Amino acid sequence: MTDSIRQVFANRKLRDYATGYAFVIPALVMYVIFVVYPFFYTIYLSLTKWDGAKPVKEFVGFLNYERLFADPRLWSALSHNLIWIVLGTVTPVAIGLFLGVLLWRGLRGMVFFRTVYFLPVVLAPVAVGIIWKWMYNPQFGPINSTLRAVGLDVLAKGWLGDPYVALPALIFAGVWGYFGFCFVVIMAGLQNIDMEQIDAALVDGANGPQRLWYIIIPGLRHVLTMITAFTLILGVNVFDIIWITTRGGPGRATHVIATYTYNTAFRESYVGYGSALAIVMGTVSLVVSFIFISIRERGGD
Amino acid sequence: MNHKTVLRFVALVLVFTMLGSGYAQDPVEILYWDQVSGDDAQAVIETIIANFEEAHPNIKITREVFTLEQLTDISRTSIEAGEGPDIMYYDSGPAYGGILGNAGLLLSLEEAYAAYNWDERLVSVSRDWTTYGGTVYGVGHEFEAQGFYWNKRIFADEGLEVPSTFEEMVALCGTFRELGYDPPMAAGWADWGGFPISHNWYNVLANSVPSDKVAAAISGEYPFNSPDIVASLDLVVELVEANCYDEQGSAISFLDGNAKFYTGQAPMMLMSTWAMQFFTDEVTDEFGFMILPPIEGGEQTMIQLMGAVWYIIGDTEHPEEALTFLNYLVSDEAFRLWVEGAKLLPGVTGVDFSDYDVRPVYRDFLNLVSGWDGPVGYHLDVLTPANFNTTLFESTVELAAGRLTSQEVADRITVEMERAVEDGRHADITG
Repeated sequence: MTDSIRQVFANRKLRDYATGYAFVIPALVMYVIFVVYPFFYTIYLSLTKWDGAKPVKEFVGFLNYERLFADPRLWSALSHNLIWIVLGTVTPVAIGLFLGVLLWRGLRGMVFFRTVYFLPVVLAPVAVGIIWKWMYNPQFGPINSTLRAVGLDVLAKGWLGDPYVALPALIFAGVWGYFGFCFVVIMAGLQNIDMEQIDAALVDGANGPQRLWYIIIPGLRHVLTMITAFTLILGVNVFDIIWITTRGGPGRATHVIATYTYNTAFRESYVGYGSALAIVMGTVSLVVSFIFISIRERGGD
Repeated sequence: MNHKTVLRFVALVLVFTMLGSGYAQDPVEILYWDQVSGDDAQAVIETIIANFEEAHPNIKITREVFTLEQLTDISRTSIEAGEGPDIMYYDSGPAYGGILGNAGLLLSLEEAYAAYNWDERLVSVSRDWTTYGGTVYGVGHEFEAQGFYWNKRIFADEGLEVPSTFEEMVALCGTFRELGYDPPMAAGWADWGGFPISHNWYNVLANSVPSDKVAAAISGEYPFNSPDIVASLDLVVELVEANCYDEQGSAISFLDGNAKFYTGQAPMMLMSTWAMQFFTDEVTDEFGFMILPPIEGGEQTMIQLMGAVWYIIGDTEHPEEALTFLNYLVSDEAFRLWVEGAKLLPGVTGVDFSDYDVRPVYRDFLNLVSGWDGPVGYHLDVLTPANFNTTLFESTVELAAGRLTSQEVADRITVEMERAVEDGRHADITG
């Protein structure tokens, strides 16, 4: 070891820096290779016309972005994302909150319920998609079989084949696969609620909904903001459950921006335009994340 | 040199000789990506490969099976990365092989067509439909026709007649409903979106619009939202309203839909002759095959297509061996196996089928094709670009669901064709 290096390591501050960087750099390198580089390369591709196979990528400037605004398929897909974001966020959080509060005060068998509710969360979205594709099967699926068995034949239908029903049916499947996560996080948050406040409210004559609204929900605000932000981002990026079940069909009834992007880039071989769609999707995710992180930080203050 | 040294030397020479000879006899490995499905067809291709390897001990075929969707997803990137196959069984047209051919990822077969005399041996569409940018890249295999299978037992039991006009076909769908049967067009929407309903539109289009106009539309020279083409979509709506389509069709998979036909739940099934391979021995009813009856004022037209095609990859290290295998796949020896075993009709000319051991429904098809002298229509999606196909499949499902009008469907696909023309992704079949 030369004197200069020995001198550097003798300096405690520099040694701390070196140790810190030694831990950070491997992760940073991976991040640059697998996130930063593809991100900027996607921006570059979005400015080209390319079919993904030809050796030459024709630079077209912002033409792909101009096309986006006049593309009815994009607006249709974004509207489905919006529906997914609203229903797919409110519903699992509401169910998680309802079940969490219900089980919070020491109901017997809480461990059992907690396990059962959380079980779908451990399944990969692909598995959830396969399960619900079978559940919704018009000929052999348990849902239609049950409806027919109880004389409600009129309600039995091709759930994933009906353009008017397919999206809500998929959102329901998505909620089933996700509400357990909300439930468990909310249960954890409920452990921090000040019981003295609840008891005081009881003495003051506050009923259940009042205790929920004025004590429990404010006490859970950090948890609720976190899971809401997380669920919203998932709503923008939702792909796998739709691709496994309907591929965006019937017609365009369940296309969201991620499925439309995949279809455009890899099925139709419009890689440049697909990249522009991916940038739009990333931008929407960033905006949604930014808004909710801001709200959360403001709430923390 | 003592005795031990001599023995060591001899042993060493023997070892190197054995290693050397072993190396010399290592067969060339050809990676073959296949999309043949169906148990019988799988058995046939395995037999063909075994026979080929026996006749060519210097070549070993390694077969990997994919679906069409998987091939579409991975072929391009795999070939570019040098991880692709040597030979691939993939679909024809600008949406599939065209993308690879135009990007220079496939081997030109111009010389091979001359060397193996394929222009004489194969039907002309083998070359026509696998020529991209003026170069032929493929050898067509599955020669198909679009039509309807019908259950002979049910037709006899119910006293039904095979329709001879489009109007009779429409009426027959209503009769099926009255008798409690499922409609003829059900299968595959859940798997393939609007493939089946679009395929039936090709039939209607071919029977109601002159083929030169359809060819011009495919080539981007005649708009798809022209009144006569819109009128052909109206006829699809007529079939929908007449109960020819299953209202739950978009939720029924290909296999489940086919099962309705095999079990007699549906007396008719719209499908290409490609589906013959799924008529296993367990399916005991006997079936007939017919093409769409003529539409009033028009001439009955048969939709023929070349389903999947063999391509050789441009950067293969073993073009000679791959070509040898490809030529064997269309040989006389393989032909009988394809027809009798796999129920697939290779696009080979001048074959006498009379002594072939095939099911009557398949014989109907062979007789129909070999004796056909009427007009032949276009199966659009093997000739049209991918963006057009996606929009068409999506839109026809919405047409059947009553969410779009014929005009709206036509307008959508016209926009997509204009985009493809602008980007040079269309096929010019009028020249």
